[in-house]
Amino acid sequence: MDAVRVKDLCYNYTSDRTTLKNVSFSIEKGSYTTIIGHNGSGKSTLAKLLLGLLEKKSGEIYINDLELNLDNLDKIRNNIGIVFQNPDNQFIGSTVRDDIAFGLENHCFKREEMDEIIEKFAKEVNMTKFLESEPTKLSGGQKQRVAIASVLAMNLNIIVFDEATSMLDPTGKRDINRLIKKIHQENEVTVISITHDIEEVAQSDNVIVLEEGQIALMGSPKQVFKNEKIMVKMQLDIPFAYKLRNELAKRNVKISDSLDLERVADEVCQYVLKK
Amino acid sequence: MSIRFEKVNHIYSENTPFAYQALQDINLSIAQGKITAVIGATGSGKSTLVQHLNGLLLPSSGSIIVNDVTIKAKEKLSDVKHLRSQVGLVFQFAEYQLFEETLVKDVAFGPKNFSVSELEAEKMAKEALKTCGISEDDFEKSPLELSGGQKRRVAIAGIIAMNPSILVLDEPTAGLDPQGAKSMMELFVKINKTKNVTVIIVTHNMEHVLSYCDDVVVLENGKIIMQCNKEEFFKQKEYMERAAIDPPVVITFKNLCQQRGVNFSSDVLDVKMLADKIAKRCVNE
Amino acid sequence: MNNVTLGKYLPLDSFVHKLDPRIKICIMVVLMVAVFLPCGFWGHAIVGGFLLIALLASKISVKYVYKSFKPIIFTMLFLLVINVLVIRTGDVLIDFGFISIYTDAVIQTLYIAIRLLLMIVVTTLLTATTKPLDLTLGIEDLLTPFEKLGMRTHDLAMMISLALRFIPSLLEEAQRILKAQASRGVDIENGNFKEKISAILSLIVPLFVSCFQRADDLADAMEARGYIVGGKRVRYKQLHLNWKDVITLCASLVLLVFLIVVGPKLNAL
Repeated sequence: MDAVRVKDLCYNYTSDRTTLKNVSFSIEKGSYTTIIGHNGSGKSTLAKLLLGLLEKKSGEIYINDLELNLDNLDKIRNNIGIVFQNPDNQFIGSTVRDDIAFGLENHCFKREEMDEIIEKFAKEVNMTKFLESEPTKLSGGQKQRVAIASVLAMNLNIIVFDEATSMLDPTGKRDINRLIKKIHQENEVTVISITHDIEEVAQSDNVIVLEEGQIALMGSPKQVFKNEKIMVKMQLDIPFAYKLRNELAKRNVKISDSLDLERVADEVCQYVLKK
Repeated sequence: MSIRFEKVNHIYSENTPFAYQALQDINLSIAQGKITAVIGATGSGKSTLVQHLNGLLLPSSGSIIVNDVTIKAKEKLSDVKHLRSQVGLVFQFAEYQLFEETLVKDVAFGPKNFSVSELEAEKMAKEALKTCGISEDDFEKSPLELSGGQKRRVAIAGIIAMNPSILVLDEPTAGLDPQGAKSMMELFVKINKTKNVTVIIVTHNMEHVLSYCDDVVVLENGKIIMQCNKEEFFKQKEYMERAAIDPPVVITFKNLCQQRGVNFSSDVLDVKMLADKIAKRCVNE
Repeated sequence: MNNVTLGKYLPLDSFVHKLDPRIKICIMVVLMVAVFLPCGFWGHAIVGGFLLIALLASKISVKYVYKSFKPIIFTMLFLLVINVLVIRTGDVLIDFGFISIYTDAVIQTLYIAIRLLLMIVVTTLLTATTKPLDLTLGIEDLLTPFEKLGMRTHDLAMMISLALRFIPSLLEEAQRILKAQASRGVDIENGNFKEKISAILSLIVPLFVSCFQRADDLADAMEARGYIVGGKRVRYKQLHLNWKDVITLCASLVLLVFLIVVGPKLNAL
């Protein structure tokens, strides 16, 4: 079953500038998909369309086989959640506890169950100690943890991360990337991550490359990054492993197409030590 | 030496229960005409440090010499405008400081504050916009019509237009896509080379430090734990870990090879050089 | 900003802190009425005594209340001068020849000063012991009957709590813009009128732009988490009454009734 299916999706911001044109793709349940492209290529617009935060011009969007339209937005949002870029602007409650509760209140969870749910998910993202803390006392990374807990608490199985780590420092980035991986594996969540972090892309199941509102490339990271010419033309970065592979190929040294740095290091070391 | 910190301490909310020492005994000299990266974990005092350079913050003790100005502890600067015209400070997410109706007007705002005539200011503004890669067709547009990356360029032009001899940038590439960040860094290198401007960049991005900077200053809990050139810096594995720094992938890869008994010489800092060494099997020298 | 004490929450742990915010709001209204009843100095002394007990129970220091009252002392002096000039009844207290001070003028001023002081104590007791958010919850609950008249009390409470939530963020933002513009040579203190106007604009315009950006982001975040304006939802935070609340409210009501009954007699003393 597909978690997300999009068919011929079009969207116009202003009448003169098309931001999405005939976008079609499907995302398998439980997979980890990354979406890359320059700022302004339509990534965030696509994310907002999936949540029904923007109204599409034409095309179809299915979330867990449920067609998205204006009448069932509440049902759609019982299936898919989003973590935005700016940690401060998505912190709604006045404390961590209140913020996690906000979504539960909207989805009319039973009041008696809320405390238990809040504490369970605060624990999952390692924020139990901060349950009564106000947002001003938290770092960007901690606020993003709370945002993730808020989404998980609503019992959703698809989460979109819209550059969720781009405003964090390296510690926060590492931390949140690790957490996303953890919830993907342990909570069986379908992850759709809009990102600029090419090494994160290298580890995902599928990549969608957006360029000026259209899908330029799509497939597994290996398939996508092998289109070196297109990637260079779009001025998109490729992972270090492939940069090295390409440079070595120019020097007549062949290594396998692994994206895993450890394996590349193994091969390179074997090569240089074999005299 | 154009910039020198001598025994600088900075304590926020001094003499209150909330007192917090952000900088501790800073001795630092920054070479003229170089690009210096200031790095360290969040809360290590980077922003506090750079805000001393144009007198937004005054030291609690110690002194700072910037060109011909001496900033002393708890002594109000007699000519703060003179200092601010020499040290251009660009804040994080600088696009939020734009407010005029057109780009030219906004960029001219800085020079005009420093008593430059209207006409002259406009000329300086146009030149600065050009330097920052804004096309002439956009000069009369409203800042609201531009994309995020372009807005930030305009904000930077607003500082460049003041013709500072020192340019300080607080995380100038935060939130930009890699391509946008790269061309932004190239802009700073261009300004540094063509106008001989001393550039100081607060950053978390080690790839940028590796590719574009000359010197590195590392802060930890308000203290300087390291000050050297970048080649020296990238040799120091333990310092990078201590300051919660993600090393560039080249360095990570070299470390992986080292664990497998393969050492590349320390001047190998990009993928091309690395490929050369591998192909020629030039290792463990 | 740190010197302003009026309206600030003091995070202490006391009997008054633990009272239900709804009860506290009701008691505040009751006490305000009591303060304005004409029941003479003795009547005010009784109210004062009640408030003193409440202050002790709330662990707020008298010094703190005095700090709130300090800015008003000047106003009181000003009032005294005006009263001296205007009120010319009662006995002459001091005669300067060109002007004489009558007892009524002094008594009137003292009267107003005491009432103001009592009012400040009452409001301080409420705001210093109740978190702004609990206050919002209390107001929301107390306004529930008006929902039948078409008032959207929940949306109102949501708006107030969001405003409270974003005040620190916006202050931080303002500080940053202030510094950024200062780096471009803006000098708020000096300069002529035109320069001052442009300096103020350079702060306000970016602050507004950033406010709208935040509002946009916030609206998306709220909607994505299933918030619907005027929609059905379950409130997580519930307020619970207990016997302490009821007793305290009764005590204040007894005080009010007592003053209404005995007040006129006290006033005549």
